[in-house]
Amino acid sequence: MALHERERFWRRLRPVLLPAAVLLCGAGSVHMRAPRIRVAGVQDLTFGKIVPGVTTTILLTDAGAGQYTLTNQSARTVQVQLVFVLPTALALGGGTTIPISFGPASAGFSPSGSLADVVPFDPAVPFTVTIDSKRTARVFLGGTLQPVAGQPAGSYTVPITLTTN
Amino acid sequence: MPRLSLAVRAATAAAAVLTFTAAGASVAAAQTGTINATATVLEPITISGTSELQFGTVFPGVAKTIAVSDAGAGEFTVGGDGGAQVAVSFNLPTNLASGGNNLPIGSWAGYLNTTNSATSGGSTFTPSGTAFNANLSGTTGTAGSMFVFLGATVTPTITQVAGTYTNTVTMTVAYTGT
Repeated sequence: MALHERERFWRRLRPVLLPAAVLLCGAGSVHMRAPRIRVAGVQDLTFGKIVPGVTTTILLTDAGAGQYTLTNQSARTVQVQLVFVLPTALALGGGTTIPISFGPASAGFSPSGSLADVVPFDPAVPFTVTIDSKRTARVFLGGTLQPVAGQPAGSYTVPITLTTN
Repeated sequence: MPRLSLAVRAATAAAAVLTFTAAGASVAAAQTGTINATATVLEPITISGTSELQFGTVFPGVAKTIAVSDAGAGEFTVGGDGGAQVAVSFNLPTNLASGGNNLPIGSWAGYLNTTNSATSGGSTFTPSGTAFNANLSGTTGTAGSMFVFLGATVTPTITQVAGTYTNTVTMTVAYTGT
């Protein structure tokens, strides 16, 4: 193809390619602005003072239940999957632990952030929820501790992570 | 111009495909939040009978009272987690026994303190099988203690048979968890 023919070819193609490029940029920006959920751990799962040998349960509706907030910052409703990384024990240090367990209704999701409309779910199983735009939902988490009779005294702790996919 | 038309169609198609792909990618990016599960295991409770409740010599027909601050008062010492609340209850005999003979116990008195004193800083109570709550001395994470003093009145009859009378007083202490 001669030089002038090549120039004429690209000149005629430009009106088509330019909108396409703009369209691609636009499409790319949509991807960048995909709905975003901000997750924050706002309250520890607190068992308080426990007695050696006495099983202690915190319900998701108890004051000591753990809490996370899920904030939908986007302008549209978003569906996400909640996935917990659940521990099997609280640790004191030096290898001393207390077993912790979770039941099929240990966790709860509230689209409004209130216990009034909380929906229980099994934290061991991924759970799909819908969060309205510009709203903050809340996830509650209880659990059961089973200290043995000779459980060493002290402060036990373990992190619990919630991931939204 | 066939070559140009082909290029235009290809560009448009690519844009359409990419636009479709982007529109379908409206899934939120993964985010994480972390909390801690926490628990404080209390020190085990220890109870020891520190002093026997001793009436000494009792005369037939003459009631005798041992006050909580008397030398003959009974005393329990309790150890546990500092500041923890405990439920306290008693299993109290109604008689002292000597073989088949009984020496009636008319009444009981108690004094509870976080220091080893039966005269000041504590509070009086009436021992019974009904539990009441009290707090050990100190703060969480430190050793706490409590001292319980017992007094009582025995009422021997005028014909009370001579002998050495005895019985067991049991105190139960348990954490309330608060």
